[in-house]
Amino acid sequence: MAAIKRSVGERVFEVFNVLIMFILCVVCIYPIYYVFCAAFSDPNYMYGSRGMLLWPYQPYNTQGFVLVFQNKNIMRTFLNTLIYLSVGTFLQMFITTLGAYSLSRKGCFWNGKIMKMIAFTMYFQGGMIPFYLMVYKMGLMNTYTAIIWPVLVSTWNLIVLRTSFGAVPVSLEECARLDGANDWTICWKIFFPLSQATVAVVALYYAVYWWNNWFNPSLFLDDKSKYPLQLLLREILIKNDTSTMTNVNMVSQEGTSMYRLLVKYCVIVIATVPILVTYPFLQKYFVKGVMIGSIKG
Amino acid sequence: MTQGIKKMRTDMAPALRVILLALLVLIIASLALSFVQAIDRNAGEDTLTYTGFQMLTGNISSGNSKGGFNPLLLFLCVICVLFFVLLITNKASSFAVTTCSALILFAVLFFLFDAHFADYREFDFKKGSAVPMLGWWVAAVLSLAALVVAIINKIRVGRAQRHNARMAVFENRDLPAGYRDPTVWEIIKVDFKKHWPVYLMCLPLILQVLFWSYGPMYGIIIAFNEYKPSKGFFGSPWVGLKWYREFFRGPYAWRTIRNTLMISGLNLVFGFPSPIILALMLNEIRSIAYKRVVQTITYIPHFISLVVLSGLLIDFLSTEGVITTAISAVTGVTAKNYLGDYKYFRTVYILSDIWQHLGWDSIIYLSALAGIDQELYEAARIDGAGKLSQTWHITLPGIAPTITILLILRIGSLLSVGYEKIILLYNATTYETADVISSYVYRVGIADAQFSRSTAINILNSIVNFSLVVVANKISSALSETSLW
Repeated sequence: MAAIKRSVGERVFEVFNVLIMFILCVVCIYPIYYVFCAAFSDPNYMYGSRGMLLWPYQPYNTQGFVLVFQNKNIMRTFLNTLIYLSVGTFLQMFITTLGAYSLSRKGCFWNGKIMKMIAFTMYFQGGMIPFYLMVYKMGLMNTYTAIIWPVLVSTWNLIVLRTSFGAVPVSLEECARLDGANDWTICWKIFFPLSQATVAVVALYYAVYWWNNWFNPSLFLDDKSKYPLQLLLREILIKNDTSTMTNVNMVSQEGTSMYRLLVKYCVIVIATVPILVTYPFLQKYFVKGVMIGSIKG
Repeated sequence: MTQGIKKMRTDMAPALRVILLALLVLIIASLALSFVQAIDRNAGEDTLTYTGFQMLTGNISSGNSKGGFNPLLLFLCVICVLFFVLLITNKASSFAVTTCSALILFAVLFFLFDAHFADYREFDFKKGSAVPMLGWWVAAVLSLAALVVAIINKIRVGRAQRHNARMAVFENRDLPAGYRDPTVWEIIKVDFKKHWPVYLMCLPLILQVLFWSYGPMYGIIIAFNEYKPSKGFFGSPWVGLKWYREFFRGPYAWRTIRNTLMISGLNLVFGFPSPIILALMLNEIRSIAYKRVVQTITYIPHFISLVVLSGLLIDFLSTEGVITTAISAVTGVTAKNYLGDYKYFRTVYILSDIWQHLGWDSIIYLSALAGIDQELYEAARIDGAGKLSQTWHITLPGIAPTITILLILRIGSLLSVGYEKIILLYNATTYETADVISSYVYRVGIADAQFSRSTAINILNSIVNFSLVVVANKISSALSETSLW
């Protein structure tokens, strides 16, 4: 079809539109870019004046990263986050998959009732304090268990996975049953692989939760050796408390605050890079996740 | 037979109607009586320091009287009026009747319970005001009766419906000889025999939810007593609605409620339309590659964790931060720490929220836009419609259902402002505009260890939240036939 002639107004709008989108991109990416630049800059300049940065101040400096990687506390929290992430996501996926499979079965007398019971918790919960007291009374304070166990089911993810399991053709299940498969086999050998995309999305959501998790650990953990990364970040970035970074203090008084700043930026970079690196590969799953969520929503 | 059942389904049982009307009259009479009596006695002697009306409005002058603004009474009045309208207009469905009578029962019992612990003098038998007190008790009994009748009615209707369905299966012929409905118990037994592996697989999930989602709910009880760790949940002294009364009379109620409504309201007003606008603009971009690049870049902020985002904000908005420097350079204002000034907190909160979620939230609208039939645009163009009228008449109606659903979800979480971000960003100098209900709950509960007070306020928050979802959903399903459930 021949191009339809566009009016002047439309052309102006288009140029304007492209420009605005460009500005938006700059606004979205610049803060992150700035931090990257700052992390590699010479701290003397950074401490003096912090204007707009288009490129790191010369000479390039990787001292901050050296400090961070030498620091045992920070490395420890990385390891902790990995533990929480792997153990937590594994258990969550196990329970959620089994639950989603059984709740997607049709013709079960209790399923509707169980689903209602679970959905109710999306809207009404005991609240922060009763939850806190419960963990406290069970003697779980300062344990890995307190962080992982209470959050093993996310209702939202359960609903997403259940919806996807519900869309698997019934005939496949019937065939498997004729061949003598039981529910356990059907769940793991048929439903789980067939809903791979959704499974990936749900696993990803759980993993992101663990990566970003700081609130519950801040309630339940005193012991710094069990901190996840985000909680340590909070100490460094928000509370401005770098006491965990004991070996930063080796430099002089003035140098301390200088390096404190540098370390801040480096820590942000280190905490953000894993996500930014994996994000392009996972983007399609994330986008898919939004869609799947919206079907139900 | 079937006709009779149909009638039963639409009409309320007459007994129920009588009970309900009596109930309403009683509650209203008790309310009126307590006011009149209070006012009367107030004129005569000085045993009373406030009247029923003052109690309702919270306008209390005396220093050590224990009454106060009672939201429960107000709630009860509103429900009564709604209920009255329902009864008069003859549109009461069985669901409405059940809900209303349950709510009234709940409110009345609560009120009595509270009156008992709060020492409201109007309701003190010894002081000669037995009549209104008795009225409340009778109201409680009556609303319980109404609830029971409504539930029985519901069961009967359900049974009749099942019977009708079965008759339809047999095409209204006589049932086979010896046919008997299976009882519920038999259904459960057969179902369990057939599906036990499924239930077994569901067991971890059920246990998890029961334990960690329903388990803490029994801790709600501490909202009505003065919890002392040494005495346990049930052994601590009962105080009724003391925490609510103190909250509503204290300085924090107004501040936290105002901040919550302001922050979430402004966030809704500015944050909700912005992804829609972005999606519409992206939709107009012709180059697919450019569009994809813009999308990918605008999604990135979504993946920055809250802690890092707050850290960035604190750094950028500090006196020497990059944003502060930029603002000073452009406008010539002297640099200052924007997060240390309560005037700017909302702006910072909302703008950063939009920044973080703008691109991500637009995904869903973009997919809705992709679903619109392109031929509609074709036709509109041939009819001479410009870009604007195309957007107005085709695009917006096309994504309206998506917008509605997301709006309901958004309204439902109106009161649950992202308190994690607030806790990370605020400090004592910005409490004035930053302190919301949930951050107050956190501070009172965790930092000050006032467990009971914190729990009480939290419950208030979740109840209001839950009703907001329900109301938003009802309105939406009435207006546009789009609803969550």
